[in-house]
Amino acid sequence: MRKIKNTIKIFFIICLFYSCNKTYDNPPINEVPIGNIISISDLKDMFTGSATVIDSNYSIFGNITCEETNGNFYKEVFMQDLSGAIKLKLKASGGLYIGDSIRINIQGITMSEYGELIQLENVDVDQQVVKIATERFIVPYEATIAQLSLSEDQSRLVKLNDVEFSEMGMTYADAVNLSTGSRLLSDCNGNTVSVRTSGYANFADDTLPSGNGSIVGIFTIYNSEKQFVIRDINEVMLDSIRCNSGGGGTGGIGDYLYKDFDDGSLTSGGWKTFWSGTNPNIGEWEILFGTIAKASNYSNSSNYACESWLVSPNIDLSSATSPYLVFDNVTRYGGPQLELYISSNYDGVSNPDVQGTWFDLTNYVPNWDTDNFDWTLVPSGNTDLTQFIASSVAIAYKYTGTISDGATWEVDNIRITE
Amino acid sequence: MIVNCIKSLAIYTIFFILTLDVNSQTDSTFATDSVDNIIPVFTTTVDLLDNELQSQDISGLLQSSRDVYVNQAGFNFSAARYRLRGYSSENTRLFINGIPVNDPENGWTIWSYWGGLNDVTRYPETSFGISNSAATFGSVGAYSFISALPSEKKTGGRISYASTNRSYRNRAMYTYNTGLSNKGWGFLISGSSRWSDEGYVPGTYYSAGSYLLSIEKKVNRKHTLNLMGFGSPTVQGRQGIALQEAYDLTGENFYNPYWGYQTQSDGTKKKRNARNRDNHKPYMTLGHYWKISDKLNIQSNLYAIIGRTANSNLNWFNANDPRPDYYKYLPSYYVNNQGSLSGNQVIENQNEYNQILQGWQESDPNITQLNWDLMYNANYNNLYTQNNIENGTIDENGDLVNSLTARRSKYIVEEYRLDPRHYGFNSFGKLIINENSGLNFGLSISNYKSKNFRLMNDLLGGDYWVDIDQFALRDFDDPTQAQNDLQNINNIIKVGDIFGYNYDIHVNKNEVFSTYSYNKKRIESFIGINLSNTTFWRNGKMQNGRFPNQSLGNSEKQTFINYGLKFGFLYKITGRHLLSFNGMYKTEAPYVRNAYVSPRTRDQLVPNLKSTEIISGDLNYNVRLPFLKARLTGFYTQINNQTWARSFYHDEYRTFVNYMMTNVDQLFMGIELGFESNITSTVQLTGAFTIGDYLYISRPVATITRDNSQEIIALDKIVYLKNFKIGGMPQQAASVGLKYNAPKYWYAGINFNYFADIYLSPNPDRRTSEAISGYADGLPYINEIIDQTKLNNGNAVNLFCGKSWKIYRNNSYLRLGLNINNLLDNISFKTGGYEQLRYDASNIQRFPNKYGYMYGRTYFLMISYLY
Repeated sequence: MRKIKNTIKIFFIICLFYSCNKTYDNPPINEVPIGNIISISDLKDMFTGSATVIDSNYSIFGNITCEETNGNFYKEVFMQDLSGAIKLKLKASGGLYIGDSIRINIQGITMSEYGELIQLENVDVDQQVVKIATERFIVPYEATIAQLSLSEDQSRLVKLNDVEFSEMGMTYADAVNLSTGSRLLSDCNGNTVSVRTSGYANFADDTLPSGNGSIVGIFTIYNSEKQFVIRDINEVMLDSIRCNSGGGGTGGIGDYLYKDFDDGSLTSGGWKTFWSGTNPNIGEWEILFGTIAKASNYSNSSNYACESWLVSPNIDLSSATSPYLVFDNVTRYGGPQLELYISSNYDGVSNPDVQGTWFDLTNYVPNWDTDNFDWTLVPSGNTDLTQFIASSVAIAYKYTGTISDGATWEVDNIRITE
Repeated sequence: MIVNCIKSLAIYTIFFILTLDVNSQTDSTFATDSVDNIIPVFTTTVDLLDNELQSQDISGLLQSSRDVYVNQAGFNFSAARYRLRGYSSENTRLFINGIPVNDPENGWTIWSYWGGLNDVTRYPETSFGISNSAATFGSVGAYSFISALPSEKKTGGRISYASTNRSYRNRAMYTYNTGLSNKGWGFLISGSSRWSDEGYVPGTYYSAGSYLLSIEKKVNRKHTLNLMGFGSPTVQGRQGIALQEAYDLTGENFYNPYWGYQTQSDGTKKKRNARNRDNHKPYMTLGHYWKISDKLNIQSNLYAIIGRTANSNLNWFNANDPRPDYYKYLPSYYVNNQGSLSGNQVIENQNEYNQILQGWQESDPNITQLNWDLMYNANYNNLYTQNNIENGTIDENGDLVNSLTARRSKYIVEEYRLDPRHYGFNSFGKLIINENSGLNFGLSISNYKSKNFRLMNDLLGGDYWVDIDQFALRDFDDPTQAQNDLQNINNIIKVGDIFGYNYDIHVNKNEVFSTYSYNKKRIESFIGINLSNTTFWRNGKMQNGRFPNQSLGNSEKQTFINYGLKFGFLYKITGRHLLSFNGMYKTEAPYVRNAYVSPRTRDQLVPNLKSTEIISGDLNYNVRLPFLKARLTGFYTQINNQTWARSFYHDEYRTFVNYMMTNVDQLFMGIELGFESNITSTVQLTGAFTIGDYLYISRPVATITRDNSQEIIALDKIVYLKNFKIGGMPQQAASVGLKYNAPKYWYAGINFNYFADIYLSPNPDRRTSEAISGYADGLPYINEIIDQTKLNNGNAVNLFCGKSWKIYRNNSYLRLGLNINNLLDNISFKTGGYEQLRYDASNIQRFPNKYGYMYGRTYFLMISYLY
């Protein structure tokens, strides 16, 4: 009897345990108030020119026209209704997708501008936005570059027809250093917009398509500059014949390679630098005045031994007939000559010291600057590249400094054209 | 729910106590357990970073020893995460009724799987260091054999009740042993319940049961059968350790980032922990004891261990990191452009900084803890259309559809499961050859499988989750690469579904051993040998989009043949002075837990996988005088060719990486001294001292791969770990105690404990030439990156007392015991922590170390009734 009693006790202890799992109720829903409904265009008209907090209880309705999935947008999306479109800067990444039909209660949100593009700041998707429906896709507005109005069409989803990239052989952005790329897109009449692509976009490293065709994206502005952001790489359909083909034109549009360093980056467009030397960073290629590439091994009244490369991306010259290289250069203070090399088997990533067969072009450049005690860039003259026509060609500048000696070299406006 | 549960338990308890046949006064206080779970349950070393599954815990083993050194060390040193001779848990061998309970995947013995069965596990047969063990060849740590045979246990019953303020607050325990009846039957039952709504650390809770039933039948003079089953179902809310910054700001050394408030339907706010452990691993065995003759007996066991271990955690998709102590949410992030604390302190966004600083200083739960309400509301609102669901899903109308529009959860609670299926047979025995010599022998066959998968535990108010990898989505423009399950493209996950990964790990091991012993009047000696064969492989159940050819099906089997040799020699100078020397050389197959680069995604092996090599020796001097029992030991052990594999976010490579080190050699050497001295017939002085030197003695070689692709980021990178200390435990410890045993059946004692030389485990990547390549020689930043962190020495004073009464009416006893640990409430003693594997060489303070503190004053009060 006693044993039975004890066994029952044990049974109770074990059973009690199983009832001890914790459970929780779902927390209440935070309702987002509606207030007065206002159109996006009316909202933008209320912008006074300086950042202001919206203190009235307003809601805007609209559909989302881009999303962050491919990395080209980060903490920002664009929203559009029948009256217009506006940029939303998000408090946190994620949560809004192309086709979402949403309502935002904008009370307490700051409306501001960035380069004259009007935006709503710090929108909290989880607390200020109500999703009404999904997959309500907006049809892009088809227009020419010239038709796009800086004020009326800003932030709008746009489709441009019969356009092409001006700079060939480059990538959309610098995926290595994750910096934004700006690539000129033009129509056959010479109107242009800059296609801006984030270095974080998963297509940043793709080479620009070389054809002519249509492209869909968000039309943005920076002050009076027309800009354009791709939302989905599959909407870039530039595979038809280019404007000038057959015309034999040799203008800027026909460049195979162009690098002016005006974006302040040595490495945008697939350019690379390599350095080895005795003192960290001394003698590395660097940006001067935000627009010129410079190398010098002189620091704290001393010269330091170094070897420093500036290497172009691989470009396709197979369609060229008589390409040539031209650039600006200047040197001061005595030291080894800046050298120029070309290779057709460079792998595009390695240190040129150890990879690739490099042909020394230094002595074929018509006009290297000599030290005449001034800083004026001089044109190099045309260096013929006809015998280097191949499907993958890279050029490289090699700067050398020694412990006792070293010049300053600057180069700019590097162009391969014909 | 938990409150109801506790109420009913309390009521039940009162009933329980009232039914006792005692006239003692029932005390309304409860008792907690001082024997298990002194160690806080956080994972403290870098070694445990991704071993979220369990922390090592062998304190229970140490505390039940009768060795003069170990039983003091086990009890008094465990608060500082002391490890016997510096060894980690895989160097011990533990058997419960003949079942080997070391985990075949990592070798650990995890005491919580049989927690609460203290009445049965209290008095094991234990030896330390290299020894002539009966059931197995053993290793360099402890060997322990716990018997649960009714005929070998004390008969009678024991009921106890305990109150404490540690990880749980209440424990009720009951054990009854019938002994062996005239007809040869014996029954041993034991059960317990341990619980707390909130433990010592905020946001933690504990709810555990345990059971054991052992039936013995003596068939005849030669044969005895035993059937046994036991387990300890445990649900637990865990504690996380944090940055010093969080402790300093909140002024709370037991700040726990794992919990937050959740508003209930009645408007109240309830604490909820995101990291819960839910384990239940039942052990079953059928044993056969065969006494073939007076000179030969053999025990054989057939066993099965079939259970579940689950650990939950938050996950999120396209949403902000919800963890309150994420580095971007701390005030330091606003200082000097993202957290550099050196140089002039420039605060970029003063308003936001002030707001966050204030929130932390006031311990505003919206800032310092998880915000469940926000997570739910984010999910409520995230209407999303998932198209191209390859295998379809059931919508709200019950139709199978390929496109679903519903609330897609941004935040979820997921559960990591590791469910063992372990079957085995072992047999061991002893042959007495003659008066002086004997032979121990045995064989063991073990067949182990663990089912590893991720389970949806809670969608937090959302309707579904999609089984794709967020990082891969951003890294690759081919969307199929982001699929976790290529055979279920865009798989819709609901509560209870498996997602993310799903694979089995198999480990089969066969082992034979034999030990020959020779004893004469003044000499005891043994020599032993073993041979084992270990095979392991991975069987993938899910085809991963990043590794379509390496994730599905059986991998290549890896086989290792290993052997060991050991010997021991003891010389009795007199019966009271004993000198002994033991030695061991053995190789061990690498543990499968370290063998795969990233088993969740693929079956790629760690390069250069080799057997571990152990070389060990110890020299002991034992004194057994009437007034003094003492042991002095010197030990020296090398554990070479170890493998180390972890996955973490690497700042320089800007991606999740798998980091593997091979050729990790460790040295453990030191001296142990323990003594017990009866100063008078009532006063006893005890002492335990250890001086250790535990360090790395090689330069391991690291291979780093991207977690998301085949890319090898670094190959044969040299890690300059030589002479770094092994972290996570005190290398020196001392305890001195005084105990008074009153003639009237009460006792009281006090222990003073001191701990020194506690280091943090070094993050290997910070000890490479690449890590410091950005700095010229001699810059102070280099030392900041390289130097190992040493924690301050600490101390704790423990007090214990007790009394027992004999109830003559039915020949039973009533006992009362009280332990107070850390009497002086020293809450500033850091007992461990880790260097984050993520680091930024240009700003080492950005991902600072995390630390855990020793509990402050805690008590354990127990009343027990023995009959």
